[in-house]
Amino acid sequence: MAGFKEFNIRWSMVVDIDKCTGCGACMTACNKENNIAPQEEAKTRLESKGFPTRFKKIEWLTIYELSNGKQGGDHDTAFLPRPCMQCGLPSCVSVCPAIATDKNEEGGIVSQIYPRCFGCRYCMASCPYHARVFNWDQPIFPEGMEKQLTPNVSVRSRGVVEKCNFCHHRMMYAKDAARVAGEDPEKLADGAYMPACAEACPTGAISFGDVKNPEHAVHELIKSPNAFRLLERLGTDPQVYYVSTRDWVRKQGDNYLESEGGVAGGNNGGAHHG
Amino acid sequence: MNRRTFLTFSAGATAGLMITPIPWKLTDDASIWTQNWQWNPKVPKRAIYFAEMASKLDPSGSGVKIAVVNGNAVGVAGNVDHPLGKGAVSTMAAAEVGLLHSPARVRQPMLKTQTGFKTISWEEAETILTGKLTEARGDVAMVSGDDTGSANEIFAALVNGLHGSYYMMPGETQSAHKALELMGSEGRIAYDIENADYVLFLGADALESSGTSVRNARVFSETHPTGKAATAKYVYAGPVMNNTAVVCDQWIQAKPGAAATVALGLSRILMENGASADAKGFASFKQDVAQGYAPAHVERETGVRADVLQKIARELAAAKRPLVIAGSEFGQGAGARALMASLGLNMLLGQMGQSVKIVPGAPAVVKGSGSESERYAADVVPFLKGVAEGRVNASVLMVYDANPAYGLPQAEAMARAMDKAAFTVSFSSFMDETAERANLIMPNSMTAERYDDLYTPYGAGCATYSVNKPLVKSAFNTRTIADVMLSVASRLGMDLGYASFKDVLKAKSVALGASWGSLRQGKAWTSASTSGAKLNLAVCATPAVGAFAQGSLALAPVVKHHLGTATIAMPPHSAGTVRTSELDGVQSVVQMNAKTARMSGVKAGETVKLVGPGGEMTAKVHVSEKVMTGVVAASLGFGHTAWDGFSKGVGENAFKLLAAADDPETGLSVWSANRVTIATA
Amino acid sequence: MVKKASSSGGALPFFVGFVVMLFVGWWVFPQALFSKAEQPVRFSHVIHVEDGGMACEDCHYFNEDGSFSGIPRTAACAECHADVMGEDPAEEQFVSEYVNDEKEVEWLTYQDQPDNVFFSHAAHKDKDCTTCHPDMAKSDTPPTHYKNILTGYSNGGYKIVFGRGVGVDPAYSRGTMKMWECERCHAENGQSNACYVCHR
Repeated sequence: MAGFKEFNIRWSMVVDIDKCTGCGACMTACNKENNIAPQEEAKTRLESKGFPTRFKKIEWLTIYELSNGKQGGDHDTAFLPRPCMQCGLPSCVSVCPAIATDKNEEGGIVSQIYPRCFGCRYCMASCPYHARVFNWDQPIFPEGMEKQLTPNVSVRSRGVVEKCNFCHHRMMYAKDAARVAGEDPEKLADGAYMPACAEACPTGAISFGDVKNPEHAVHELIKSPNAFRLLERLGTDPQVYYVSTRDWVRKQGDNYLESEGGVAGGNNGGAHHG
Repeated sequence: MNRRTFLTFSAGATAGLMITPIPWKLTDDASIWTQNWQWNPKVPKRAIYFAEMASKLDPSGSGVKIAVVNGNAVGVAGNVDHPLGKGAVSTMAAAEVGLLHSPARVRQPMLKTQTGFKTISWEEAETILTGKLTEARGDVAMVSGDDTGSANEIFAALVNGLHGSYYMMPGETQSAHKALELMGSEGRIAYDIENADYVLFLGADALESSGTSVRNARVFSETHPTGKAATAKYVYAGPVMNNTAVVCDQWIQAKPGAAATVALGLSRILMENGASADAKGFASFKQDVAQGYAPAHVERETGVRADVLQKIARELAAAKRPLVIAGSEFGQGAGARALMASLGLNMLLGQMGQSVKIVPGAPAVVKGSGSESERYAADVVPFLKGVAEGRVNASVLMVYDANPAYGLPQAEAMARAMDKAAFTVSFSSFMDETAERANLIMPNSMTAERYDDLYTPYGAGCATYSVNKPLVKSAFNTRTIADVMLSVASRLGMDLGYASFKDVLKAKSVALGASWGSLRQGKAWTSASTSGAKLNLAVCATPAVGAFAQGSLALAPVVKHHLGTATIAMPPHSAGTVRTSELDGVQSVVQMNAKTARMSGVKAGETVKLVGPGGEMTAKVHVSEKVMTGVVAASLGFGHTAWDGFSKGVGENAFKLLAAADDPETGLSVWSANRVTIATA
Repeated sequence: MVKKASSSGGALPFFVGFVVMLFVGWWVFPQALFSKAEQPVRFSHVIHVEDGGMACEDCHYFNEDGSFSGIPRTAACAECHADVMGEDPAEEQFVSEYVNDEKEVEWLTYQDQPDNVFFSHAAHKDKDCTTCHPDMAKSDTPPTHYKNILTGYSNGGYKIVFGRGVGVDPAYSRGTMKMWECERCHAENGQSNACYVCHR
């Protein structure tokens, strides 16, 4: 059964959870690359204010800390970075009244067009991954920091929703470079287009590429029996895959009960829709 | 004209309006105007120009590329060609750009008056400093936190010329110099982690904050390819499952500061099984170790079980290219012992000259600067304690690339030392805790704004050298302090032999045999040459100073660079990376496991008071099995009272709890095995 | 004809109002809405193309990373104009005010798009420059820059209006090139009109 739309290219991220140290270099790189205004309150998460204002924190990539819940020597921890899943069947796209978000571009990255969004936040309600954030306040750049804005993305205003877009601007830059070099922009080499988080990660936990292109490393990585996706049984068909040799990590990927023996690992085996 | 005429006129005008473009044009313009609010900052148009730079804020010395658009630094990208960066961008390297316009930046020289700081010109600042240095007559002290730069030579030459004293901030580089000196050698320690098939980290948080952590992390990545079998085994021994331990193949629980004891325990087992080292002092080393480090003793002291120790020893012996890296869990305070013990262990494994090499120190190019070892010889902690207590006189105290008022044990006393010194000068780029207490601030330009260099950080693979040139115009009225001090030196009548810092760097590259043109283009210079010095093992086994202070729990300070370092506070773009296990609202959080909590009579979420030998702090309790039993872990990086809104005013500074104990045998005080008491607050 | 004192005031006020509004709408309003400006330097394309023998690509080229060089910086012009070469007062002004002081000329852009638009010259390099831009080869003065004071965007200098070339013209009622222009040409050429192709 096909996903929302089948494209010839399917940009996917593969995160090796066993290599993520939780250092936060990916989050810092993402924030800078995408002109996210630094928030002083982000560090305190505003919990004292009652309202679940931890969601006021603008970040496109969140790192979750997982635990196997055991005590003593059997205890284990893992970190899981969660960007936007760029779902094959995006629930956010299906609910947007303004078509501010859509999945219609070759490559499958779900677009988010800021001027078109009027901030109803229906998409935030529908996203099962909490991947979308809302600009509750006008983003303020400390004096002088507006000189350090990158050309990559526009600055969002108060009242619009934003989310990770796999550093789509880098894909545009890579395609332009290919065009100028006389190469095919629809056949980018492995590594020609890498989001900021994948580039920054010191332990190389994040791999990125086109899973439909056999020359890209991720093409093989997702076939691993240790590969899984978050909340697969919802049928969202995410384009972000996770790999872990640890059973308990894979089980947490879709809230498997203890009684459910088999784990999703190998279930997707490259197929794009459950 | 009556009302009806007017109305008819209006009707005609309205009809006419409809066939002019006005309403359609205005609607159209409104659509543009409302989608592109004028008050949102505009982003520049690309082209993006990338320029190489070796990060000085990142202690691992990683080389990156700075993205420049229209003369502004807008981002940091990886540099795959740099041996210490290998394409990665750590949080501290990202801060090179993120902090350029930090609200905490000092924008011009400042002089403290009765009513606060007032801005002065560079001319005035140099005059004042020159005057103070002239008056001081030998009572001059300088503290530097720059472990890799040639600027130190200029400063040391100036301070030596005034018969003053030079101090380097404590850390792994100082420990390494001391260890080599005691073992009869000198130079810098290099670890060939790229070719190691079994790496044992004893305490050293080598994938996050110790040594060339970024390079280590990249090598970890290469040896642990996703979806394939690992080609090396990485083991971490320490009290907390920190960022290194969480991805290592095995985490061995060992008490804080246990690195030396574990290394010696392993050495004993290896020697029992016949291992030996062709080195001076081997016999006495063997004897000391046999007597003092039986597995049962090691287990008592460190918490590492005897059978686990045996297994690690077996694995080390069986490995083709083992490597042992030891140090403090938080980058300072282990003195020289942990390193000496690990060097002994590496020698027994036959890895001296293989996984572990001694590479030559940087050649001196400034007359009168003394040697590197001389600069690292003195211990700054007892010095500042002395100043704080009024026992030691400091007429002029200069601080470069360091924040001793925050990032040293007994932080409150260290801060007092800044006040007590007659005239404190801070060269910090930021209004940090030290600068706040200084009498004169002469702000250094940031890495991307100045010339600077970086020679072989501790733990690099071989001798490595990078030169930075200014990539963007200085954002504020700051200067390169190395140049300023050359000017001050000449005002004092000293001829250091160079007109500018750039000339010093050129001379350095000549002395190293490196190509200046290539260095200027951002290429790193490396050399495989090693110093063939023979190390004396005799000193490696002398017993460690015991744990400091009474207290039911051992304190494990934890460093995570997303919270900043001891010198640099959390950069603005990392503010969102703080976890609830580290900070709860504005209150610090300490971690302990369930058993420890029960033993201590505290519950998860309770506010407790920790009292250490250096001071006390309150925090909330977070129960986590990532901490060994009997240990309480506290994050370093909170409790800033200066800087800016991105890091100030949250949590407490865990450095306050720590206190240094003297270690006369090595001459470096230690504080990596402090204990604390805990009680509900 | 007897002039009736009609209750509506007669046809005249209506007619007058109608004509006045037409005048206001078609003449007064455009004058008021747009502020006029000339470029800081009177750059002549024709001199460079004919006398200098240069082509578009000599100053407007693609960088290696795929970005478009845009309008050349003073340093590029200074490669030839380090000193005054001819007799034109405009050149003299350029050399003395910009080359000698190493200052960038603040050129007024005719076709600014908002930040959320991503236009790639590289993707369109197979089209002739004059498909979208006026043929500057013959122009001796840069077109007047009309800036819409409400939106801040320039108005003209572009050529495509409903698919017909109208030359260099304020193109008053159409304003800055909008999305539908891009979409139309994309559709005609079989290119994707997905949001992210042009937006960021």
